Amino acid sequence: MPGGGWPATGLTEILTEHCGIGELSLLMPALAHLGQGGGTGCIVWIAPPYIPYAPALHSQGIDLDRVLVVHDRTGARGNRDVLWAMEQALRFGSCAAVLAWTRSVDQAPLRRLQLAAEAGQCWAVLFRPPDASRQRSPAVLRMRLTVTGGQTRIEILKCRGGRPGTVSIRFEDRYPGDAGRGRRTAGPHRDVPDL
Amino acid sequence: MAQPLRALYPGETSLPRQPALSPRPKRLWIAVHLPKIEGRELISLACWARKITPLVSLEPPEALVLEVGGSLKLWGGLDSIGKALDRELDRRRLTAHLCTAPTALAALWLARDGREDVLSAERLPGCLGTLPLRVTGWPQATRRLLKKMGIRTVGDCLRLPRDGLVRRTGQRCLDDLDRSLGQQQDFRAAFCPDRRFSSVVEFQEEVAEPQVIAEAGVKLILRLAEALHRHQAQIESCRYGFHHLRRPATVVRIDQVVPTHESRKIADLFLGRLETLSLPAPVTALSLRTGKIAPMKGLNSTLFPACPEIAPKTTLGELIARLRVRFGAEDIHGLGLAEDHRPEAAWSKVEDLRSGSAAAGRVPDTRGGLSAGRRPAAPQATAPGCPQRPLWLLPAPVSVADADGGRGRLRLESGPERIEAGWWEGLDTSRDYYVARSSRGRRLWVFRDRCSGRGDWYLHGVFG
Repeated sequence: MPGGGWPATGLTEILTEHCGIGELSLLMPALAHLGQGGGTGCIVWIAPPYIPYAPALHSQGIDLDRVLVVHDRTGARGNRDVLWAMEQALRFGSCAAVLAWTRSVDQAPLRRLQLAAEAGQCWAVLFRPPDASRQRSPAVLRMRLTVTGGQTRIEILKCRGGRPGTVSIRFEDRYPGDAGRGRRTAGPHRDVPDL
Repeated sequence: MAQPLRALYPGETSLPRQPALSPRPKRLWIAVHLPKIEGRELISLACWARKITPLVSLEPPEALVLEVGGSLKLWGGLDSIGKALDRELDRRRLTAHLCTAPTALAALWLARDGREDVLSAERLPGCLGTLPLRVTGWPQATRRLLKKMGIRTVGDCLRLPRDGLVRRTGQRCLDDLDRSLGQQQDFRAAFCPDRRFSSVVEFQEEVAEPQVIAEAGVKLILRLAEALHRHQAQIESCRYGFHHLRRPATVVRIDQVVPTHESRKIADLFLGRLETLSLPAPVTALSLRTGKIAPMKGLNSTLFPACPEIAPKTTLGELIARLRVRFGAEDIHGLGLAEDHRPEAAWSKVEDLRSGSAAAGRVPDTRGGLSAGRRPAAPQATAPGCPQRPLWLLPAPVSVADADGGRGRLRLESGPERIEAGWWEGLDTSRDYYVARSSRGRRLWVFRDRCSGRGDWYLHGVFG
């Protein structure tokens, strides 16, 4: 990837069928880096599908004091509230990253989000279903995650300043000292892949 | 004589007279003891009593103390002050006992026992001496201790050796005795009533157009901002009342989260709320009533306002306030850790984002430096002894049969981790946790419930 990592500002789209295939683990090192060290802003989670589990986030090195979770329990106004909240958080200027989970989104709101992310110097991550890949998007980075044979395949659909490509990663979470039951993966796979 | 150095302000021609040189009126206190009064009524009476003197001090739960030494000349003597108080108490149908003394505590103690006025300081020790200990309002334990020592009156206390009294009952009792006799200054906070602002805009006819209501709201907010500016004050919350014809008003409360005086910020939230508000009927009037008005706290501004990197950014509290007008207050929370082995109890919602650790209103920069330096390095996910936890937790465990195509399609990859806890709360849990992979490649956190006889499988988390 250009610059050797995630884009620090702008809209990143991650297209997945369902959660649980490593979509968050991919982001974790970058989020931990944002929350610590020189980073100042908070990380906002908007309409996550489940509860972000605090002990796991903490063990990944994320500063929990900086995490803000917004649930859209009613979902009465469809995606509108999620997109509105995301734009507010992006424009707000003190957030380091805004993560949001939505269903279908039109092109115009995407454009707004991209502009808001650039204005607020913020990393926007939007999780969408995979059929959105047919839609055009102003995002800086788009990737599609699929699972084949126990491995997570990352397809880079669009990458500003770089070339599309494909990477496969096997994510594993094991109990410590439990190596005997299966093939143990090498450490570097847990980090941000150097694409 | 050498004057101490002091700068003169423009327009000032000489140093002001030292206030200590002007004669101070002799202090005189009236205590009003009201045996059967409610808190709200006491405060209302205190508000009225500010007519007589600026120094009204509450002695909850049942008394007021007024400093009238400075008001004697204005009111034309103690008698007329007493009469004014009596009239007001009659009007409120309150029974009270009034007592005047040179110190606040003496007046209060005498009033509590229904004694006569004591106007000279010389007579104080004698008059206080015969009072029983219950008038002092000291803790029950202290009074019981003194009673065991054979001490029944304030006079008995005064006769005790001072150091012995402090050793047995603490410094407070001795201080109270000294204050009651006027041997020690009695610094009292003057009662200051809450200030609020309320205003109404009435419409000529019933209005349903949001545009018109919004305009009226902005008008109210501008009035409020003007008042706040005049008083150099700020507010924390507003209550908007949408009044309807022949039905109760719709009341909407908006929390500002970060106290503010700026009309723009107040109007922002109001308009945001109005957008999603559905009114049951057309509106005849719109009212605004603030919560407590507090003195304004200024913010340091930057030396280089034109430079966006260092200009003060809006605080997180403002973002939270803005989000709260769309989502419920309980839908927005921070995350915290809790010391518990049960996975569902090992985290907590941080609801109070204002004072809590969750960042509200905090200046980002200072925090970044501090926490990075002080906090021990976060435990690594792969560190030995640190059990794996999924990034997603389900709100409640779901039976695997319903969740992901049944147990048969799951492949257990790692485990078990046995968690047995919660028996002390009557919520006995005994579970074996495994990391499993579903046929569709999802990595799941499942457990087998050992409490139920059949050993049912449940899904509790997802490794994101």
